[in-house]
Amino acid sequence: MTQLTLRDYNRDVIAALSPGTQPYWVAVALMLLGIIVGGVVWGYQICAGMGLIGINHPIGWGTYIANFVFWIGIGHAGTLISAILYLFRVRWRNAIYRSAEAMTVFAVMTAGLFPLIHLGRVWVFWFILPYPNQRHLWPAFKSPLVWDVVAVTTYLIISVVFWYSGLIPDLAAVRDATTGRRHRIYGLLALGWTGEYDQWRHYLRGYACLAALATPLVISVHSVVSWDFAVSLLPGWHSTIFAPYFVVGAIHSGLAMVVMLLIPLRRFLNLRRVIRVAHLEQAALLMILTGALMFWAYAVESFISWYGADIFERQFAAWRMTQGYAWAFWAMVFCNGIAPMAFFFKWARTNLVSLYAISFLVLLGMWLERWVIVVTATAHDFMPENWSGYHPTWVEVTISLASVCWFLFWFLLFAKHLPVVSIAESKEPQVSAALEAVA
Amino acid sequence: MNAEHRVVSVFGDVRGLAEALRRLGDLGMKEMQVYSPAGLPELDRLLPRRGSPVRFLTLAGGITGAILGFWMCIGSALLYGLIVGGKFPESVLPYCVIGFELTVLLGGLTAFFAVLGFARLFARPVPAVYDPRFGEDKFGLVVTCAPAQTASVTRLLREAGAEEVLAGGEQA
Repeated sequence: MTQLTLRDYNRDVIAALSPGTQPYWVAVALMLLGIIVGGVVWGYQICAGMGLIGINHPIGWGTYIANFVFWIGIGHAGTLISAILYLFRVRWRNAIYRSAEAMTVFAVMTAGLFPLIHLGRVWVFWFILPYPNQRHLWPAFKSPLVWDVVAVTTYLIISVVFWYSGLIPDLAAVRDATTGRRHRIYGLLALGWTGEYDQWRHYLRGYACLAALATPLVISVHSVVSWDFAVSLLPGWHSTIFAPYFVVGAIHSGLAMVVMLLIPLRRFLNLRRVIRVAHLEQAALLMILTGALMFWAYAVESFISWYGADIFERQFAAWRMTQGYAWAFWAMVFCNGIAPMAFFFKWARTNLVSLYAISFLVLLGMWLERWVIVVTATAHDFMPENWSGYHPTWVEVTISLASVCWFLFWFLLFAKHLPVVSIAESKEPQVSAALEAVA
Repeated sequence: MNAEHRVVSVFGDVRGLAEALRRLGDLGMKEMQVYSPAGLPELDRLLPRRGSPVRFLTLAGGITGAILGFWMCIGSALLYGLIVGGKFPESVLPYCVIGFELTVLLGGLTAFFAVLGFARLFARPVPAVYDPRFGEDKFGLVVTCAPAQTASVTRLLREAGAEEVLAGGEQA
């Protein structure tokens, strides 16, 4: 393939911001309709009470918490691709990191809804916020649930800041290419960026600092989410492997979502020259690694359950693999650990249909994994008289589907209104190579 | 009035820009500004500038966040003063999570606002010498020099490969 010129990046990416077609707006309207339906059902749940959903003693956490962990996980690949690959100067990152960062922001926005929905009495959510008050009532900072609030809020803020920082030079490029109202809006968002050396000098230092801070943040956030479970004593949750296991799983699902979003994006926005199959192939290669680590984690968890000689842990592991929820357990092992191994074959990671299908399986498997973790451990604890079962009700299913609409709604708006590929950073390899040649 | 002239040049090739900067540096020119569509950290050795303070401010922000995180957790535990099982009310290990998150939060926000401040990115008007092509595929070099040097600077820029040179813009 011939190398793109510097101007080609501007032309292709800014052309993708042309006013949306009718099918695009129909898709946006459908997503909005899904959000409205979800909002109405949530309102019904608030009015009628939490009895509408499937959770009951001893299963206090159900589909909503599984959705929360799932969406937080989706948000991880964005910062992984953006921050970690930036620090390692991995160049294929440039084509896909902007969309991945947007995915992070919208996924964390989606995840943040579920603890509120699960709370039931949503209007008392501020009880968990640390603020000075007359009675000196502070949240328990020793609680993993408070860690979670702090970690997820930090992650959302830093992700938005990182995303916007990367956008500034590109917003200036769009400002220069547009006229009228769009010119004024993009000009305002570009904050007067001109690409002066003095701007780049501070910008690159700041961006590197943000990347360096965001990298441990990615690892910490999902570790903290995993400790929501792991610091309890329940068999199936009380495990030291949970933090790395959750982090790898999050990156695994995030990569799958990136691939699933980029395949239609590059087609409908006509960005095939900028987002190439080779870029998707790199994501697929990473999924081989994360898929293998997931399989290893499942194997180690099962082995330790047997080898650890803890009778509760051992009976729980055996029950999960062979009884009522065994279908979900084995489906998750297949989707997360075995299906991505198809990417060892080049045809599987360069064919868009197989890339899409396997990524979908990974997403399904990762959702099932969170559901299996959340539900089975509480359904089968220490006391046999407590053992129970759980199925989501139509309320949970509707709100869960509405969350997908919420996520896609924001992503669709992003795709047509902000540069989906970094224009400035895509040029850097060419410019740097030219300068190195004369150095 | 000690007026200085501004020479604006446009380069299509970054190698020409680097060559011009090298030769201008040899002439002792200090007042130069480059416009580029991508970051050029390779030019750091050609343009005389002091290091960016953004990193140090980020560090300061991070340390402030860590102190704030531990202070909030320990302080709120001491406010209760409830002794359970003879243990101290504060428990430093779980507070490390809060301390770490606030380190990242304040460090990141400081980095962001430091960039906005030092790069003067608060919606200031675009300078007159800015050309929209500098955001596409052209590189700009603006040299501020004494009127007597304008001709030699212009010649040097052309020899280095400038596609366009506009001389004579007066700057007080």
